[in-house]
Amino acid sequence: MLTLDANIWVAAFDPRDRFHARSVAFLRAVAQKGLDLHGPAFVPLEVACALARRAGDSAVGTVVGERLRAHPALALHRLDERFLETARELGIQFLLRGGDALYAATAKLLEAPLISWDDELVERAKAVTPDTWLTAHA
Amino acid sequence: MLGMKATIDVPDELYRRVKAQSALMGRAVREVTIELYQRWLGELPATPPPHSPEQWLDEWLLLGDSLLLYAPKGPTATEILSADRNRLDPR
Repeated sequence: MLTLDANIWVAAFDPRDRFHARSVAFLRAVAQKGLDLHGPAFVPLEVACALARRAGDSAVGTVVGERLRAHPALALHRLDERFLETARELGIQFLLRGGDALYAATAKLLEAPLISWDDELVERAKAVTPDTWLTAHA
Repeated sequence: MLGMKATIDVPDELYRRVKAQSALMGRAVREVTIELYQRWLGELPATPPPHSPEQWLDEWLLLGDSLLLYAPKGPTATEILSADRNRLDPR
C-alpha cells in the first residue's frame, strides 16, 4: 500500500512537466506490482484544479477529476474527525502546511508510505520520492 | 443505420460533459446514447468491465497528451500545484 501526493498524478498527466517521465515510470511500476494506492478525499480536487489552471480550461478539470476517481486501485479517504485530528497532530509535530498534513495522516493511519515530489514532505514527513521508491523496489 | 428520431431535453451542463467525454474517447454522442439505452434494457452488462491500473494509466497519458496539447505556455501543472501550496509563504 502507498499514499500518493497529488503532484504525482498531475506530473504524469502533463507531458511537459519535469517530473513527467519519472512519475509515469513510478505509476507503471506500482500498477505492475498490483499495489493499492491511497489518498485523502481531496486529491481529485487538487488534481482537477491544478490541471484546469494548467490547461486554462474548466472542462479539463471536470474530466480529470472524474477520471481520477475511477482509478481501479486508488482509495480516497474521507476527512472525518479522527482523520483530521491525526492530521492536526502531525502538522503541528512536523511543522507542515495544512494540506500536506492530510497526506501525512493518510500515510500514518493506513501505514502506507507517502510518495511525493514535495521537498518539504520528504524532509519533514518521511515521504520518499518516486525515484527513491523505484530504486528501493527495483 | 437508420432508426427512430428522438428529441429530448438534456440539462446544458450534463450534455456539455457528455459531449466532451465522448470526444475524448473518439465516440459520437449518438453512439454513446444508444449504448446507454441498451444497458438500461439489459442488453449489455450494467457496467463495463473494470480497467486494470495499467490500462487506466495509458488512458491518463492519452488524455494528458490530447487535453494539454494546446495549453498556454507557462508553469507546468506541478509548478502550479506547488505555487498554490506555497502561496502565503513569502508574505
